[in-house]
Amino acid sequence: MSRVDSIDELFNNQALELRRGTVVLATLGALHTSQYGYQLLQKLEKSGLAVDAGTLYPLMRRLEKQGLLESRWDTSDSRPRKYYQASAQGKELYNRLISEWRTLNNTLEKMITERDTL
Amino acid sequence: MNLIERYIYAVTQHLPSSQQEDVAKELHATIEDMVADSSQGKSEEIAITSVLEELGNPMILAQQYSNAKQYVIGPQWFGIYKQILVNLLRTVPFIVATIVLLSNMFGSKSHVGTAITNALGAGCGVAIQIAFWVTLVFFIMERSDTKPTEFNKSWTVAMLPELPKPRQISSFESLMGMIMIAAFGIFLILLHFKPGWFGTNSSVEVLNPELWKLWMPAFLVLLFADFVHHIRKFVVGNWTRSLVIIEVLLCLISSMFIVSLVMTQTVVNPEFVNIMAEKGLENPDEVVKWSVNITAAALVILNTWDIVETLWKKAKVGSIEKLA
Repeated sequence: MSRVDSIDELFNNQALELRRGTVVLATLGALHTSQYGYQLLQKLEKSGLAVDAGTLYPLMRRLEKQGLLESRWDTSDSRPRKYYQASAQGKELYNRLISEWRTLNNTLEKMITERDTL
Repeated sequence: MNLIERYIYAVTQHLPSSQQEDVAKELHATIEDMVADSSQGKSEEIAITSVLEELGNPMILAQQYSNAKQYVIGPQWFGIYKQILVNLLRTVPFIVATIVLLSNMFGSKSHVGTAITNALGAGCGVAIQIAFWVTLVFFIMERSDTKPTEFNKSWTVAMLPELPKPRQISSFESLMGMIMIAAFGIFLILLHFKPGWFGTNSSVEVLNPELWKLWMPAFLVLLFADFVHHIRKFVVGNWTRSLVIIEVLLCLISSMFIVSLVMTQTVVNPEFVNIMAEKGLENPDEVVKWSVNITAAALVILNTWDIVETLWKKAKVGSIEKLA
């Protein structure tokens, strides 16, 4: 009954787990300035953090519902666009997550170099 | 453009109406931006197609948007749900089927086939009902604010359950014994009181009715004693001295009973033998004699084996206890 996943499949699953939290971090960071969804998508892609549109849009909506993002519709352009920006709470969460990220990164970095020098 | 509208509809129809318009507007703008970016040199339709395919299955996108629970029962309830369901399913349907079978046997003039069909039908029906209602209750609990009490309290070592008592006699073995004995007893009673029930379509009994003056009631008493003995085996679960003695005694008595029955009595109803002969059975007396003898011999061998096995098990347990 038990199915053995190929190493590629296992890698993809684990890599997805690793990335999951970082998308929130990057989104909150990038949205310190007001942007609409597609702008953010392209910005993240340019920085090397490609995210599916199907993941990013629902995520922004969820963050907005949690009070971490604020949004407003801009109808001055020919295409009406929804602009998102991090709220005060969103910025606070971002700062705390960043320090958490740095701690984790340092710890893991130390573990990895220790292992390499063995 | 029609493709875009259809895609957006396919996504938003799964969302709560409060979100639909907002999501639709945002998706629309995004898709148009994406198409504008990727349409260099391509026809608009090809660009739209590739953008929509990049966004992927609208059902999956809708799932990402929606916060509703996309499962019937979540992990916090699943363990309890499974435990309750399994416990109910392996007891209640069998009890119901047995009750239906017994009431069919002694109640109406129905046939053995219909009785078994009714019992199976009732058992399956009850099983489906149980599965449905238990699942429904847990489905509702999953969506209410209640949590299993185990997850509310902080766990301490004191909450660990005791280890199950070691058993030398499995409960399954004792239960099967009880069921077999009861079935055999009921079978004998039915053969006498409802001979037509087994499809022979006649009121002629297979076994000699004369036996019911003394031998058959005595045998039923013996069966009843064996039944009680199996209940004790089920409750005690270990080969105690008294259980071993009674087991051996019961085997010896029933072996002697069967041997003397076969040697002194006419077991099969002579009238039944005549009917079989009329139906074309050759050498009916020989056939009957041999089937009775073989059955009796098989029963005696089984009983002897039972004695040997019991004593051997007891001896093994005894030696282990001495070692310990």
